[in-house]
Amino acid sequence: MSRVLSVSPELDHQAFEALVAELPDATRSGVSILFDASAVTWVSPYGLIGLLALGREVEQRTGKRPMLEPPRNREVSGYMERMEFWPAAQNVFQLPGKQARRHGDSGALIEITSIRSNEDVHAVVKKVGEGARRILQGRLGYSKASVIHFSIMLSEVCQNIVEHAGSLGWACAQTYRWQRRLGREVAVLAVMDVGIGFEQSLGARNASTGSAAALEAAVLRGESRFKDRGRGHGLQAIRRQVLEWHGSLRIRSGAAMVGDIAEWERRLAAGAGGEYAPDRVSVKTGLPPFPGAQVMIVLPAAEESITPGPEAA
Amino acid sequence: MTRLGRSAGRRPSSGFGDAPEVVVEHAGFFSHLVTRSTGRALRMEIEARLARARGAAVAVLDLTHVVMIDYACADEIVAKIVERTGQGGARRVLALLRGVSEHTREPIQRALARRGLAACAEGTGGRGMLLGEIRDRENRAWEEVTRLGRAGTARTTEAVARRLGTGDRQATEALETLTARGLIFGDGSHYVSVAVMARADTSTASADDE
Repeated sequence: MSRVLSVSPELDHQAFEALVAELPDATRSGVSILFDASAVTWVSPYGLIGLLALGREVEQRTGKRPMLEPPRNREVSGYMERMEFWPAAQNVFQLPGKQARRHGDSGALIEITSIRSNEDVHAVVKKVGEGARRILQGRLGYSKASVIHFSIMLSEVCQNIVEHAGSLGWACAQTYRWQRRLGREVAVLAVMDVGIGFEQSLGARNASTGSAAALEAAVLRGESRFKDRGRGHGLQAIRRQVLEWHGSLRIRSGAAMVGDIAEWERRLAAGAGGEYAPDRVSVKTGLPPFPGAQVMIVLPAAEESITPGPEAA
Repeated sequence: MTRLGRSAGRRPSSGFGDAPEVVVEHAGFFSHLVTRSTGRALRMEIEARLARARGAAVAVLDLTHVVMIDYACADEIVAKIVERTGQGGARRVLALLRGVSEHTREPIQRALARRGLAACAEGTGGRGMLLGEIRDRENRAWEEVTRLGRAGTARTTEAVARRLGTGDRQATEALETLTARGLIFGDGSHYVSVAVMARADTSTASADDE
């Protein structure tokens, strides 16, 4: 007997949240879990590695590897091949038969890369070089120096997995045209792990006060679990860089998420029926708990029509 | 990723006061300097070599061929080595960052500033500068010492006082601060710029002595 978790047709951060919310009930009885992704017609980098993180967490909770029904949509399944999803998925899911391996250049900024050690961080930073140049300079219109800045950001965010999570993690980045929301291209970088998370990591030094407090301490104030005042640079540097590119940063850990959201995205959210948030920084609490840390960075193409808010000047 | 060497060799004490010798340790770095553990390993290698010096030592960290350095690596390699500069009396260690590019400058600047440190640096064109947390007065005094290269205490004090538009007391304070921070070498009779200390042939590099 197995329990089926249906993956939403748009496999993005919202679909990830929906699946996380279902986990406690689904894994309680200890039955096998099947992630049914057959109806998926669109995937984001965050959704792709989110599925891996969910699979890994199911195994942690039930002791059994979950199954995964691949998308029927050929474009999506082809994209997942090109993004090297299946090699990573083989270590997480029971898969139906042998999945195709990609051939040639994926055109992605970063295909799905497993991060376990510092060597993996070195590898992903070296690998991103040419792709980053082509995409950041060529398609997003960023400066020549952006390739270096992106590589530093990637290194810092991936190091968090090795230094703090104590677990396997994944990184993935892709550009796509965010037509419906923004009308231009964005690059999305997703990095996540299913390790100890911010609360436990900071709890090694400070009195633990919940995942929101831990996230705020680390992301907004640059605190680290180490007394050494040279520590805690990484997330601060990432925030500064994202701000400089008029992008958005979201970091989820435990039951909370801290966001540093660009003016254009807050306006779009308000236009879509939401309420305009005057502050860049937002803290969400009461999310369904999930281990580790999940990072999403959205970088918009540099176009004049993006009107930066006063704080992004 | 790194090439270490004692290329400048040991120098006699002449002109450097009581310091029995000055050892110049060159560490040339390559490629992508990323992750804290990489930085830690490279720093420990350099520190082990510096520890063998009986007198003053200059650590020349050559970043000319570095493609990029992240914040964690900048903190481990640069800031932690610089943090030890100015310590240890006659056995003090000074640091010079060579070949600092547009790409490597910012992570280093931030890593130093976060620890309240400053370091002597040279850009890719060889131009000298201070990076990190530094006051304008100290910066101007440092520029003057750098211009002189090596000079007696009285002459340096006078030149710095003139540059700062202050009296000798304030100039002396500025010079003592720079010495304590490891940004110049001072032994009571001379002040020497770190760049001069780091050069193999000091006789051609220094200003007129008293």
